[in-house]
Amino acid sequence: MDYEKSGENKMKQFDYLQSVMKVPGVRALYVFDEKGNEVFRESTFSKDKEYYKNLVEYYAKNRGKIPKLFYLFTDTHLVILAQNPDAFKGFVLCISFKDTNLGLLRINIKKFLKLD
Amino acid sequence: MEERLTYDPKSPLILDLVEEYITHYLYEEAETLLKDYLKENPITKKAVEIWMRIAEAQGDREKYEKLKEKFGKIEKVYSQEKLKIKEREFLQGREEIEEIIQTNDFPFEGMEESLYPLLKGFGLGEIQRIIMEDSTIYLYVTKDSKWTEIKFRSDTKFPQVTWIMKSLEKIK
Repeated sequence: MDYEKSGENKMKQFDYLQSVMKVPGVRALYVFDEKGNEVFRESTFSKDKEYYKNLVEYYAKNRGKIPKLFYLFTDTHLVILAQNPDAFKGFVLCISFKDTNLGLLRINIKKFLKLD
Repeated sequence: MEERLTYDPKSPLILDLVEEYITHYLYEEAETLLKDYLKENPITKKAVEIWMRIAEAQGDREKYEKLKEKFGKIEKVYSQEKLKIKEREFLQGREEIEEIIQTNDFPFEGMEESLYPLLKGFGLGEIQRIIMEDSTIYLYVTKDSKWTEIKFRSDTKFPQVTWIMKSLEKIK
């Protein structure tokens, strides 16, 4: 996307991701590009690639067909999957504890993906 | 002249009569009457509870344990049904909701398989609820391998959806 190329916008985007990481209870945040490469990674999980591999493939195959935001709740955790192909061809994966401030996570992820 | 006692086997008053027999230590008669009653009526918590009292009074431990197990199962079904009714009543009163659909399958084809290694690998547990936000917001709730899809009206704000989800979680 064009705004990725501008240094100033890149910084802004990075700030949104940093804001996500500052929300208490966030355990991992990954951003994948359209080829499935990690372009951002902050994680408390040491071994992860083999676990998200299938999901990355799923997003690569179904990019245009997948809804923009998913909030998946388990008994203990919240997994957010977000994409906006109009602004960024990859997708965001965020893992946090269930009682994390969802509103803050949502706002920053949406801002990063220009979904606001 | 011999007096014959006649009764309607479908009457719930029979359970009162069974209890009366128990009070007078007539356990065999009480059990026979209860069995007759259950031939015509669906089994209920009260009926099993009375039967347990009979088994206890007869000192039949094995029978008592079997009935206790049956009682537990019935109680579970009762509480699940009660919960479903409460949830339905809560959702029916919400103006934000456009449609509610029940389905057996995971709502997004192919996605569940791709998520499974992630959830298992990271020890996150199984998905209980999903909010899907796009031009329309949907809430998905799973119970007993079935999914309920709740479609919201287009002007519904996200916090209203999370509030409804949390309210559903609190219904017990």
